[in-house]
Amino acid sequence: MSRENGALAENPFAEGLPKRRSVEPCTVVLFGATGDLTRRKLVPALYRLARGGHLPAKLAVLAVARRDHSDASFREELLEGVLRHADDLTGQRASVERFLENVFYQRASFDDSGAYPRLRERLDELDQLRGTAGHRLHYLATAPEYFAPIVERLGAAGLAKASADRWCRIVVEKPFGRDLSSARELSRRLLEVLDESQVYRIDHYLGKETVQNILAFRFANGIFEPLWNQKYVDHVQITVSEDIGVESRGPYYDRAGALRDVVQNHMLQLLSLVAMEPPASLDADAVRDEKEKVLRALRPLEGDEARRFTVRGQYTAGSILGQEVKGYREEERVPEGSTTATYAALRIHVDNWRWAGVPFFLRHGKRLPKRVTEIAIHFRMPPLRLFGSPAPTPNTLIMNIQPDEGISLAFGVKLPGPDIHIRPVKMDFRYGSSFGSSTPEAYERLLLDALSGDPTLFTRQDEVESSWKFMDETIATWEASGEEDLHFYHAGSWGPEAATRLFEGVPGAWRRL
Amino acid sequence: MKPRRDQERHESHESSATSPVREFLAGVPVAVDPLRIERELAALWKPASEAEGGEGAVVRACLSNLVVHVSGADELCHVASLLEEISRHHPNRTLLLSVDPRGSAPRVEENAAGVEHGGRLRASVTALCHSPAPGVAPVCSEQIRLLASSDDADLLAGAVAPLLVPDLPVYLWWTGERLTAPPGHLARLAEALVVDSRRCRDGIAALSAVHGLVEGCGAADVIDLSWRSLERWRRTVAEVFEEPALRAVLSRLQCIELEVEVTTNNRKDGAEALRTPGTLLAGWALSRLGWRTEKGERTRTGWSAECRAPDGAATRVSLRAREAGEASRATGRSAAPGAPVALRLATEVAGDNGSGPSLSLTVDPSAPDSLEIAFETAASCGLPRHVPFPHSGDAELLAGVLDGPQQTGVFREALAAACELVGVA
Repeated sequence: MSRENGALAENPFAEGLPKRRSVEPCTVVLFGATGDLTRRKLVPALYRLARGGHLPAKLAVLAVARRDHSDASFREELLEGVLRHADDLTGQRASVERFLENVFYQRASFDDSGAYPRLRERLDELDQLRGTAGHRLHYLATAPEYFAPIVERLGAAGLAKASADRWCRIVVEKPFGRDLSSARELSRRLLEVLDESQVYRIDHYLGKETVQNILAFRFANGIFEPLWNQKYVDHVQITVSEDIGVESRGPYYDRAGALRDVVQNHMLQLLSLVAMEPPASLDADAVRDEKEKVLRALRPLEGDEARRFTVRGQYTAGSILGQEVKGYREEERVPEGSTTATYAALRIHVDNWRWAGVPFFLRHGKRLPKRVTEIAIHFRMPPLRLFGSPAPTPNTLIMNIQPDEGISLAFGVKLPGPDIHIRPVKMDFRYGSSFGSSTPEAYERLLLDALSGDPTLFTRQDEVESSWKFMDETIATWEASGEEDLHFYHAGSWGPEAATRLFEGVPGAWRRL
Repeated sequence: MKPRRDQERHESHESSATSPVREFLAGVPVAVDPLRIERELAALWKPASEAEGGEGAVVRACLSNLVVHVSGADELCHVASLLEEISRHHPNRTLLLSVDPRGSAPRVEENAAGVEHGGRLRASVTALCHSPAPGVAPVCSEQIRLLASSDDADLLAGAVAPLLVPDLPVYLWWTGERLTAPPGHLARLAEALVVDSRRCRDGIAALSAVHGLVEGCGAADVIDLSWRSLERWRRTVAEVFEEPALRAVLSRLQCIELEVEVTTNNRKDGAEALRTPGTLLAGWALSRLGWRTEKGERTRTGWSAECRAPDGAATRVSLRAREAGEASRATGRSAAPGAPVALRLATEVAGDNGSGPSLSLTVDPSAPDSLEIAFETAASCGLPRHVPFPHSGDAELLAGVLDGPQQTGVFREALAAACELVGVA
């Protein structure tokens, strides 16, 4: 045990205990606390973290929203909301209720500058009452147009400053702008108040166990990385398929569309993890540097190429699992005759040594037959075909991100019998069955990271800009096209037939999922 | 297929001649020829693997080999129940070795298919299945039971090696109070030997036995579940001392007091205070602080020792058994025998009328999953706070052992300090 000035420098009791990230006493300030995200995701995640012993005893959650509530009435409303949305917590009412004693409420309008000094007073009171030491995590669970105004007002009230003994972090949810120009403007406004190191841009896909497993799978095993390049990989397919429609998000979705809603953020993040070079370390910036290099190496789809190598679609009425569903234009609050794409398929290239000539096929759509997110690496066929017909199928490594998290490898084996016939089989790893327990929710991991100051799984500003830079031209081309090149597909189908043309010149087709 | 959870599953069962596969998947032990175990297991798994996602399909999962040695029918029953629970957290292949104290085993038996098999061991196999979620195929672990008579007990260990799944870690769990070492050739196969010294009523003998196992049983590591049960104490104390202001007190500590709770079923002679959870916790604190025991003695309620801190200061440690309070009796939720219920770390400033700072951690008698932490100084008595103090059952402790490599350096130091504290050579 080393000693400094009579005090022990280390904690001798900590040795030998499994390492846990330490979260310092702090206050989580939830802006937009009466919204859906808070009760569906954020508070359940905080509760599970607390139950797992990951949060300090000195914690406070200050919910900020416009509605009129007292601490008690908000806790009551929140309790019912949390229990309604989190199936696994229904038997833990008393425990959740006890946790919610850490939650307080402050009524405030985000655009009211006078509200922020009052907020500061309340936070100072909580520091005294709860021992939260002035550390703050501001979570902006609000519409994106409020991000900059809230941060600016926090700055004006002295609530955004970090110092040597007090940290202050801001979490913002996507979308980070609508295009490159607005993303830069948002960043400019945020960084006038904050340092980049204080900004945590959340993409909840990165919190999924299976997405983190991409790095572990690639770089903790010696056998896959030598094959992970254009010599052995024929093409890569990334699919984010949703069976739901736009639900109540009609107005937002109609302005955003498939490219902004999912492709520009989640899918390009998945692509960057699959395509990145091994980082020199697992430091946040080492990993994010490599991801950003991939995004910068994406070959832009400009002019005619945006039309040739992308397919946009919109769902019409159909049925899914026996239930009839409306078409997009019949959805609530969707403008008549809208030409917003609810389906996007792209063929893109990463122009670097590792991936030259390897197409990456991305497809995303709403009202497809099932909810599934996967990454499929299709390997090249052997150089010589020794075995006759039927032709063997190529080896495929599939990373199932959701719903059935795991990894499988398809390869050919000989069928038992006197002749040599090759049949594909699959070798499966499933999180649920291999470890006997369910994977933690993405928000649990991301909140813990934000609270402990690890930005690895959060998007950096340069990644945001590079992905917008790539996407902007395609979005502009699509929006200028109107109804031209908009392919309709029935809800419950795998999207427009036109998407198959993206495979011209490539031996393959969209995977049947 | 839903596994049956009733008692008969844990006893030797005569399988139905018409549905050994069904019984196997339902958790009923199916008798097999000990010389053909793998082959017969493969035959029992085959129909389920061919179902390919349809009716009757199961997933067979295995993360490790767990070799469990039990003696006696009661122990077998208790362990079988734990193994079923463990398999939910950590799918594995379990080899359950048991000795039938009733005498010699029959020499020849018929298995479910009516095939005669012989030998001095009896074997049965079963699947332990659970459904991770509705609509998802059950996940199954496999369990192989080997039973020998007391005359042939030595044969059990030799039957293990061929049945281990390659490339997966091996854990030996030697149950029972006596804490004996497994045969050397078996121990050398294992990542770790797991024992539970809480089962021993004689705490000092238990410490001595565990110490002997650590020194030379042959396994790569020895894990005592008594030590593992203390993780919640260790973590809580470590978290308290993460605060730099409190850490300043560490070098001035002069007294460690530990209490265990005694109920009407326990002995009241202070011996409960010497059971291993208490002595190991005290040993941990001693080893972390670098205190050496100079002299210890029994007291009416437990044990008291004079120690020396690294800077030469005189310090003391006491272990005490106290009567369960009304709150514990009212809830009926008393602590397990020998489990600590209170830990106090104090400074005592010589010549000062008041006491120096002290830290108390006390299990809430009315809510044993809650711990009260109080820090007092001469100037003030801070408001105690309550923190979650979740209790881990035996199945959870064992699953934690199976989950990965252990850091046993701190355990060995704590064990050595505990032995020194109570005078175990």
